[in-house]
Amino acid sequence: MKPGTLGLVGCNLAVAGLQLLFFLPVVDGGRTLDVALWAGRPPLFRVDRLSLLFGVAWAVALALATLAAQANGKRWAWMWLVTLGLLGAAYAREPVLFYVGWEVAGVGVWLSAPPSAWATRARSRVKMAALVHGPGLALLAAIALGRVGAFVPPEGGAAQVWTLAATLLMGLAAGGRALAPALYAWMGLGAHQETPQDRWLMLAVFASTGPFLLAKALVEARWDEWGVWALTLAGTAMLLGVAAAAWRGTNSLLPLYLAAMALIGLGLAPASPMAAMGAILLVGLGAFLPLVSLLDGNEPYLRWARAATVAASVPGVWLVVQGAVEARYIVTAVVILPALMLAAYVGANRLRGGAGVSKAVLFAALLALAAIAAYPQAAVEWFARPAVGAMAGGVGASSRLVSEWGLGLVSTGPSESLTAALPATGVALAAFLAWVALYWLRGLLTAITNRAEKRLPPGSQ
Amino acid sequence: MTPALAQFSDWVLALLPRLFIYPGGLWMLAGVLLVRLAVGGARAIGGRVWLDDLLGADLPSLAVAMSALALLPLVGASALPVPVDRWALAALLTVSLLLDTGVRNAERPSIALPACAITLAILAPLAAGDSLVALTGDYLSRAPVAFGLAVAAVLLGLAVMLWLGCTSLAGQVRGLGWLALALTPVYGDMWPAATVWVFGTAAVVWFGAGRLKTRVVREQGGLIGWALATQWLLAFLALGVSLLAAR
Repeated sequence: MKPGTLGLVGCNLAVAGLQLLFFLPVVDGGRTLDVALWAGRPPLFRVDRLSLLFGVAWAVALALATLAAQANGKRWAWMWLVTLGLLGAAYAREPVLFYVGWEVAGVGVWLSAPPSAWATRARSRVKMAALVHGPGLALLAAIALGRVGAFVPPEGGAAQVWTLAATLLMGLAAGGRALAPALYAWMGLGAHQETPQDRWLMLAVFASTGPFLLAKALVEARWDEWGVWALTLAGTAMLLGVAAAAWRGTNSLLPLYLAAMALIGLGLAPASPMAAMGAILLVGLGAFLPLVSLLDGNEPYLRWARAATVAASVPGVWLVVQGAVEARYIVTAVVILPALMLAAYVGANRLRGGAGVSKAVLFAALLALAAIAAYPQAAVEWFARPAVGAMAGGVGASSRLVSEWGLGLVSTGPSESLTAALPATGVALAAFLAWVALYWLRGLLTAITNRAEKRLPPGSQ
Repeated sequence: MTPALAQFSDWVLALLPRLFIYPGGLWMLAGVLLVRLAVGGARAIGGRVWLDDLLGADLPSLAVAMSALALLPLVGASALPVPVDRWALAALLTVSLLLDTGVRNAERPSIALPACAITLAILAPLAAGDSLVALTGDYLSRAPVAFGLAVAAVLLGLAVMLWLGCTSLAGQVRGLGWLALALTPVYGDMWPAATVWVFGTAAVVWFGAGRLKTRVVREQGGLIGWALATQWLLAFLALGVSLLAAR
C-alpha cells in the first residue's frame, strides 16, 4: 500500500473514531449540541444522533473507498475533499453550509475520477455535471425559496403553493442524489461505477446523502399536510424508480443500499421523528409509512363519511367506507412489503430466466402468507373489546381453535389500531434484514475466497 | 410522532440485537456449530465446509428461518413492543422449508410430512390456553402430558427429517427454531436455561439420529415410515390432550 493511501485511510478512520469519542456522550439520550463559531453568533453546526451516525458512516465508507482506489489508478488523493465536504454536510445546521458541504463532496468526486473516464467526451461531461450538481441546484433553489418566504411570508393559498414548491425541490434534490447510481447507468455512464471505489463513493456521496438531506431538513422544519403529501409522492416515485432499476439489473446492490439506509432512518426515530420519516419516505422499505401517512391524510374525511352513513342507516355504504379506512393495514403488510421484497430479490440476484422469476414470485407470495400469519395479534384486540368478549364468552375452548384464528384474520379490518399491522410488518422486515445480512456475508466470503485462491501458485489447487 | 411510528421504531431497535446476536446471529451460529459437530464430527465444522455450505445455501430460506429464530420468545432477548405469536413463528419456519431449494422436488412431499406434524405439535399446546396466540404461563403444570407428547413429536420429526437427507444449513437453523419453540414452556425466567435446553437437546437428537441412520435405518427401510406414523400420532395426541386440559 502506498504511504499516501495508508495515511488517508488512517485519517478517515481516525475521523470516524474521534467523532464517536467526542460526540457520542453529547448525543446520549437524544440531546443535541449547537456550535457557533464565536460567542453571540447564530450556531452554524449541530451535533445530534443523525449527524453523528452519518458522519461516522461516511468516514468509514471513504476509508474503504480510498483503500479500493489505489488498485485502479484513480486520483485518490482528492478523496480528502470528499471527506471534508461530507463532514461539513453532516454537522451543518445552516442550510447554506449544508449545500456547500454537499457540493464540495461532489467536486471531490469529479477530481478523484480518472481524467480518461469523462474528459474525453463532452457529452459525458455534461451528463456527469447534471448528475453531480443538478440536485445541488435544486437544493439551492429550495433554500432560496425558504429564505424569501421567511422575509416575505406568503399568505393563504400562496403559502401552500410556496411550501409545496420548496418541498418538491427538496425532494428532487434528495431523489437526484439517492437515485444517482441508477441514473448513472441509465444515462450510459455505467463505467463510473464499475470499481469498488466507485461503489463506495456512490454509496457515501450519492445514495445516502439524499435521504440524509431530507432527514436533516425535516428535523428543522414543520411540515404541513401539503408537505407530507409531496414527500409521500416523492418517496413513492423513488420507490418505483428503485424497483425499475432493480428489475433492469442496472445496479443490483442499490436496493440493498437503500434498505440499509431505511434501517438507519428507522433507528433514529426516537431522536428525531421527522428525520426517520424523511429517510423512510425515500427508501424502498419505508413504503409502509408513506402509505400510512397518505391514508392518514384521508382519515378525517373517511371517518366523517362513516359517521354520516351510519347516521343515515346505509349499511352497504358504511361497509365500503369502513373497508377503505382499515384496508391500509392489509395493503401494507400483504401487498406493499412483499412487492418490495420481490423487487429487491430480483434486483440483487439479477434473475433472468423463468425459473428464477417464479422463485421470486413464490418468495413474495409466501412472505405475504407469513405476514397474514402474524395477524392473530389482532384477535387479542378484538377480544379485548367488551362487546366482543361477551359474545365470545360462551364459546368453548375447542371451537375457539377455529373461531379465534378465523376472527384473527377477519378482525384485522375492524381493529382500529396500527398495532395490528405491526407484527406483520415487523416479521416481514426481520426476514428481509436477515436476507440482506446473509447476502452481504456470502458476498464477503466469496471475495475473500477468490482473493485467497488467486494468491496460490499455479497448479497448487 | 404517532404512537404507531414510535412502536415501529422500538420494534426495529429491538430487532437488531435479536437478529445479529441473540437468539439469531451469534447464538444461532453456536447452535448450528453444535448440531454439525453432533451429526458429522469435527470434519463438519471445518472452515472450508462452512464456506461451501454457505455459498451453496438457499438464502431466502435461510433468512426466513433465521428471522424466526431471532423472534423467538427467549429469556434475555430484547423485548419487542408487540410479542410475535406462535402462529407467526410456526408459519415462518414452514415458509423457510417451502423455499428451501436444498430439498429436491421429488423429496419435497416426504420432507413435508414430518414438517407438518412438527408444526401441528408446536401449535397443539395453544389449544390448552385462553388465547390461541401465546402459551399461558401455567401451561407446563396444567398439561405436562401434552407438553411431553408435543416435544416427543418434534424430536422424532427432526430425526426423520435427518434420515430423509434434509441436512442443509437452512434445515439446521429451522431445526433449532422448531426445537426452541417446542421447549418454550420449560425455560422459566432463567436466562441460560433456554440455551442449555435447546443446545443440549439438539446435540442429543442430532447425535443419536445421525448414529442410528448409519447403523439401523439403512438396513430396515420401513423404520422411517413407522417413525413418521408415530410422530403424527404423537402430534394428534398432544392436540387432544391439550384440548382436554383447556379450562
